[in-house]
Amino acid sequence: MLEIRGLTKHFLGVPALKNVSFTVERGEIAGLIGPNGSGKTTLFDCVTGFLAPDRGAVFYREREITSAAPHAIARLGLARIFQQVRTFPRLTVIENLRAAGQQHQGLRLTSGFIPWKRIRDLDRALDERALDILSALGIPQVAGFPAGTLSYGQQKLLEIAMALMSGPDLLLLDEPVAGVNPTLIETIKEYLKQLNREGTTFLIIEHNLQVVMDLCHRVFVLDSGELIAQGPAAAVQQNERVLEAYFGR
Amino acid sequence: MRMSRREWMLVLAVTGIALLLPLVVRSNYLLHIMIMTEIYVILALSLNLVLGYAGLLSLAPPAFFGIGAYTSALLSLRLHLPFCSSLALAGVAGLVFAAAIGIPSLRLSRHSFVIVTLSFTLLAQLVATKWTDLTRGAMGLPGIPPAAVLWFTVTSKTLWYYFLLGLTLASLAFFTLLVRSRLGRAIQTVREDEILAQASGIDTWRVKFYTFAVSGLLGGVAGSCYAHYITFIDPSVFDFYYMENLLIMVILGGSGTVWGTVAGAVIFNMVPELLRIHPELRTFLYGIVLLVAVTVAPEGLAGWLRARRARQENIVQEEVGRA
Repeated sequence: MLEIRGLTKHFLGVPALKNVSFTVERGEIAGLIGPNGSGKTTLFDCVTGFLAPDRGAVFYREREITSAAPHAIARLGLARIFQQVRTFPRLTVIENLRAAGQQHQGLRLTSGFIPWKRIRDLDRALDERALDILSALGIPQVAGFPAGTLSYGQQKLLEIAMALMSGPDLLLLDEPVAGVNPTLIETIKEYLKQLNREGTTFLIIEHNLQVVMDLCHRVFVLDSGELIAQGPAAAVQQNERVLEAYFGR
Repeated sequence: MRMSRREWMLVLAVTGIALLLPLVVRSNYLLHIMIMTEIYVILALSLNLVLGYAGLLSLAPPAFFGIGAYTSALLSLRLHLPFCSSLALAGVAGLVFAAAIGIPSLRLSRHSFVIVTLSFTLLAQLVATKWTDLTRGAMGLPGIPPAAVLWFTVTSKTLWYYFLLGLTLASLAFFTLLVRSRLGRAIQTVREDEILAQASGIDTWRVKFYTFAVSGLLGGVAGSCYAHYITFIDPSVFDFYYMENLLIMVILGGSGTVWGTVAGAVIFNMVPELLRIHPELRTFLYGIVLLVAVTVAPEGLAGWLRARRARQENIVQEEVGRA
């Protein structure tokens, strides 16, 4: 599904990723863990086109996407959420979801302003999808509120909902449950499991190891930009290099 | 997004008043102010689109205004093109120049973009002043023919008022449809969070480019109308004075709303004129008003009213809850 080959990235000479290679298989939930500053978010940025790697290549469904434009990658069905919560704060929740789901249809300069019936039908379908997702996440009542007025946890849910609007095949989640209360964590976990059963593949960065153990089939561990371990979650947890990276010698 | 019944009533009421006004207003001076207000509404829309909807501070609207004015004037005077063609080509000129400036400048940071658009306005004025073979420089271009639509010429101020009312309403309708469309939604995501917009599959560069081009088109159209109405233009059409007025109208009216812009244009054209405030004193007073306004009502008149309504609704809800 997603193949990363020899990804290398430096910032002002400081290495952030050193020759990282791994593959995420279709249908799995893969975890990406490692101490702070180990290059996890940089890896996400390189995969989703927000950063151009110095060396290496990224393949998505056997197609090279290295250094493609972020919007182009998103349209291929590879969505992501960010570590810090991002929404369109002054737009309502439903408008946020419409914007996240509309992608490129109806954006022509010459005809974009005409309220075609085709576009209105598409928007209606988007609204239905948006309400379905909001209901599944337990927040249908906030649809009309400006996104900026939601609580942190609700914004986190909205962010996940937005990433789902385009019906992605692969979802990269950067700390989806950071700062979220335990009850909400369970809701999010169950929802992600359900989506996975329905066919969505995940790559998740998460510091909450309990969540990683519960969700992830396989785990990749980064330390100082290097891939130091990979394998089933339980095995990786016992790996000496991983313990060393987290707790020191 | 459909307009609510209340919005339709408001639109009809304002249009009705605008249609009837010349029957009451007999003074040519007042009519002149009303005509200038109409031109300003179109120009303010051009700024509101980039500033209020895309969140980009463009200081180029006077440039597109001036380019539209000169294009239209020169086409009419030198090539004797009919007004409608000049008007359309002035809009196209605004659009083309906006596109040409937008391609490099929209790739820069937001701050650099401001500087590029400012430089472009200053440069345009310089060209209009120095390229005397084409523009007659500071002597300006006199004798620009009045507007003529099909078989009749727009000569009197009343006719100008109605002609521009039609054009303004058409611009407003176009603008409203645009900002409520999917393209309009995409434009607002650029203002809200460009990175998230890209991650959502929106080609933000293209959206900004379109926004800027449409802004140039509206500016060019406004400039053409001004040239044919006043019948004389000189390099002062590029003056930063217009930009100050526009910023006041858009920011105080409520950037990112359609009717806020209209209200801003009407209030800030009418009030200073009617109070007969000297133009130089006006700039000074505008500065103070702007400072006070961004402190008290940072989202302009429209935002202030919205917040007030929200508060009232909350109070009502609380009372209902208590009862």
